[in-house]
Amino acid sequence: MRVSTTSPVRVNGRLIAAGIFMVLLAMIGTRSLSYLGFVALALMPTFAAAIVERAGQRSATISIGSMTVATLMPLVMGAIANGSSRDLLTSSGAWLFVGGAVAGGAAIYFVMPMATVLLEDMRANARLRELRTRQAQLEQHWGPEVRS
Amino acid sequence: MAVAAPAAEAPSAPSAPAKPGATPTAGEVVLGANFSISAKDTVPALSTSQATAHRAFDRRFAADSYVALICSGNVVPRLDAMAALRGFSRTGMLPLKEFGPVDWVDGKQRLAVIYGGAGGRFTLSHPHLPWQIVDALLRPAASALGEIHNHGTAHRAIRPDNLFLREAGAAALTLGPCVATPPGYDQPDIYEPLETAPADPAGRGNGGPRHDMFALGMTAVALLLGRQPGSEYDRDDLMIRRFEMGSLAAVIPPHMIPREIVDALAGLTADDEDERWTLADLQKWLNAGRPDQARLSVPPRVTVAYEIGGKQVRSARSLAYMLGRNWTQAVSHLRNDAVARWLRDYAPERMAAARFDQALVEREPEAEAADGDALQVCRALMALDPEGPVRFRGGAVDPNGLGPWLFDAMTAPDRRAAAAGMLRYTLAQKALDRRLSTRRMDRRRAAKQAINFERLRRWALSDQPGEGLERCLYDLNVNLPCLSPMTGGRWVSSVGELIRSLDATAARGRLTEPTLDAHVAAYIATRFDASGEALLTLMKPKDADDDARMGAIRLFAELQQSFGGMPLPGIAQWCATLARRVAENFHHRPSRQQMLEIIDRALPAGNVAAILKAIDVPGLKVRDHRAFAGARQEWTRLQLEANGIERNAENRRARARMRGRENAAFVSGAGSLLAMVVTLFLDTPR
Repeated sequence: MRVSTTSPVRVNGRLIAAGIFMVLLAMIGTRSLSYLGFVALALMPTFAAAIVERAGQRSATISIGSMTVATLMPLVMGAIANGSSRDLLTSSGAWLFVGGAVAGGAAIYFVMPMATVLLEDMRANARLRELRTRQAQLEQHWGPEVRS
Repeated sequence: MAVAAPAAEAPSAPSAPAKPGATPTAGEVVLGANFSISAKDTVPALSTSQATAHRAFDRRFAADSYVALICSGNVVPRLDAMAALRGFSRTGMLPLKEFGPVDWVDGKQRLAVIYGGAGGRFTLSHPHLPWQIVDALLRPAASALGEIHNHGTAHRAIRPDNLFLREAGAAALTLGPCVATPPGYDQPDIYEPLETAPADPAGRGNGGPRHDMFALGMTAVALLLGRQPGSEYDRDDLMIRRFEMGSLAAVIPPHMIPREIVDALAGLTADDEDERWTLADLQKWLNAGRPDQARLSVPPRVTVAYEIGGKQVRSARSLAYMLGRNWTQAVSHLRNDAVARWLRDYAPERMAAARFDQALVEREPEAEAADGDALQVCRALMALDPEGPVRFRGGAVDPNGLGPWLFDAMTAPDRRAAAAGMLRYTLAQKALDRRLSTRRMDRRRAAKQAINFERLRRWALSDQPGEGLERCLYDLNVNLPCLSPMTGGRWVSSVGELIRSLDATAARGRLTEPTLDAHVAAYIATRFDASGEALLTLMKPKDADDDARMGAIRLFAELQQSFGGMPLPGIAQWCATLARRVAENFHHRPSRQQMLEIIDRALPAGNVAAILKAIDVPGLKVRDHRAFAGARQEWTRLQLEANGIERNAENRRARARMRGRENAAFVSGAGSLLAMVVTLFLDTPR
């Protein structure tokens, strides 16, 4: 029997999030099926990332998903508030925002590790310089025999 | 009275004496402020094997004639006697005016002794009558010896060829110079008492007034005979006759001695020192008194002689003499029991056989195997002739004459072993212990003497710096100058002069660091009581540790202070070399630099104390070591940390990458907010 390693709190949180997300989709679906289809298509990169990434390490899913959702919400809410007259599926402007959000999420996912490594390298080099300077001072005061 | 004709080689009047303060001309050597010595004008009449005589003059009194004896340096001159005899004049002796080292024409410093000029040399050409001997020799000599003995010394060079006329044509004779050589050095054996005659010329000891009385008596015999006493015998025959017949009877049959003088000659030449006339006895006799008479007894002759070295001997002392002269043969003689048998059956000395047997069974526990035979012969000779000199490996020396003898022995490498053995086996002490009680010193002096001989033994065995035979040499000869070649031939008679001489050597730059030889080390150790460690540093500076180097610098600093703090730029250079080595062993570079700067600043002034002060900071060495250990620990810790950073770079980056991805989720939250705001404001529904 396979034992799940995921904690119960995390499982419950996901279920609640999934529930809220389903309610929202349902509410959108009651207004317009085309909007629901727009949302589903817009979230495709997120779903793809979720499938590719392992459970518990879904940084790309979160980055792309949160950016996509944050862009979808004003688009869909604005269209519903305007009487559902806007066809989002064919709106190039809407897709431009969605694409930008997906690109932004992906950019965050790829740039952050590199930036962290760069920062860490800089810190290590600074410490190394500090150590070498102190060693040089010791050698200046006590001669090369201090190395022995 | 024509006792003797003036010698033809008497010095003539000075031709052109320099004025006081004038610059000496070429070939002219100055002694002190007043005397000039002409190196070109020799005076053969006063020259001896170890001193050449030159005409000298007092720059204040141009008309006076003087003679300067220039010591060869091959033997130890009698500086104590010079000091004792300087400045007084008496009938019967040449006045010693001045002495001291002079810059001789050969480029070396030599000891010069200025004597008042003699009128001519006495020549022993014909027999003299008793009254002539009394007036020409005994009266003036008694007067002179009274003065000499009162000054705490003895002449020790009374013989016919050392008699002079005070003035040309004078009747009275004067005793000649006596200070340029060790006591009795130039004396033929016949003018020495039996105790010291067998000794080597340099080892006859200071002796005393009774030695002079014997020499005076034998000189009188020479005048009586008109020739050298005993000249018809070879050396060994004469000595054997003296031992067996007595010295006087050996050279002149008693019946041939004029009645007027027989008492004086018998008293003066008595072989028993206790029976020999003193100066008071002689003066009493000269004043028509009758001192106690010495026994003029001929020792009983034995019928059976013992033959050794081609000579027949008939007493234990003459046997000892011949065994000593043939010491390599003596070994075989001692082994075959013939000597012991002869002593028991025929020797006139009753106790000799017992002493001899005792000597043969004695052993020297620490003796080297090679010395075994020589020591046995030495002990046997002491037993046979307790009053005689110590005889070891062909050398013979009076126990009180070790100093000049050691100097002489050390000049010949083949005699060095004998000299070393003489000291390491304390043979002189053993000889003194065997002497008859009447000639032995009191217990306190004997104990002090035993301590001195023990010190000599320890030094002779030691190979430590400042010890060895050289230390014995300077200890035994208190006035001996330093013989090191480092003195550049200068007469260095005190540590102060030695320091100045070494400073000059160092200043010439011939030696960049102190590499003192054994003579300098022994001289400093003897005259200044320096530590062996400091001396070792000065002999082998490269092998020394820092403490020893500082000890050496401290020694020079103390010497500099002791002699008035005179600048010593040359020695300071040496000390700076040592001090730099000490400074370079300090780890802390700023402290080291500071020391080196102080050392460099002290150099021009020749200030050794300042150099010492630069490096001799109490506790600095310990602090330096402690701080250096701390610095090494810190350096190692830093290195470990740096290595860790470099070695873990990949892990650190992997962790950073992971952290970056995790942080991406949080950053995307902020990005979402921004995206929402941007969408709200930029989206225009169409």
